[in-house]
Amino acid sequence: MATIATLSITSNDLLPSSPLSINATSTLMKADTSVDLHMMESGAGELTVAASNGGVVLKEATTAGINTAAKVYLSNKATDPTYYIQIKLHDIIVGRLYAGDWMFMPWSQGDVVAEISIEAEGGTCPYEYAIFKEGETMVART
Amino acid sequence: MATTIAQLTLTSTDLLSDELALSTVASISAPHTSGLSRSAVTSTDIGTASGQVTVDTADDFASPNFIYVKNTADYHASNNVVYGYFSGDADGMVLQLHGGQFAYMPTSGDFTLKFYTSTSGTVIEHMVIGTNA
Repeated sequence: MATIATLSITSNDLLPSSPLSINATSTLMKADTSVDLHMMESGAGELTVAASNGGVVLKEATTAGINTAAKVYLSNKATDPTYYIQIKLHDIIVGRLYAGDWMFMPWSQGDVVAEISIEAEGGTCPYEYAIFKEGETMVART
Repeated sequence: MATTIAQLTLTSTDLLSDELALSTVASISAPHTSGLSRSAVTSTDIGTASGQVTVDTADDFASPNFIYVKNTADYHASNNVVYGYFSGDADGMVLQLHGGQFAYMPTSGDFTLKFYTSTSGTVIEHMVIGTNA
């Protein structure tokens, strides 16, 4: 169940002396194995400033998820260049995705509080995301 | 102002019952870069500063800046794994990249991003794109 991630970064004027062209391809695999990641979840929505004040959880970390090799794709679909989504790994501010920006990064969940949270600033930010991950054990009903 | 185009494509013919083909493009208007670098990481412990590779130094770039990092090693389950952390943040581990894997992500620029490795000599390629602070 191979999922292939391909990234290209190009610019004709960022480096003064030569065009920039980077291409990278990766097959998404489970941690400590050569077995493909086989689960995925994705979604899209609108993140309002008020509703996300202080951050809302995009994906909770779990005990079963610790030290796994999930990959997270997140894109800010806003069009106003002053609107951004702030991304956190628990209390660590990873960075900001301004309108039209996206990110792709591994998420290994160092512990059960290593959740990913997002917060809109400036205005409502439509967004989409996908998380490629290992299987999860369902939590017992309470 | 320089323009950089970053495109990500995620494809799979068998992850879902239907084919997955996700593609996204972003145009970054930013004048500065650290330049594309290739560095060997030799430190094998987060507590051993010597041999760690600094990809982004705190406050060199204003927020947001984008970081590209690729682990150039061949994939191995447990060897040649690089770990990225925000220096100065006690709980700052953010990245774990096996051979052949990459990350493209924004950072605030407030912390220094450093890498150590499971296997001394692991080579990474890295770049920061943004605006000098």
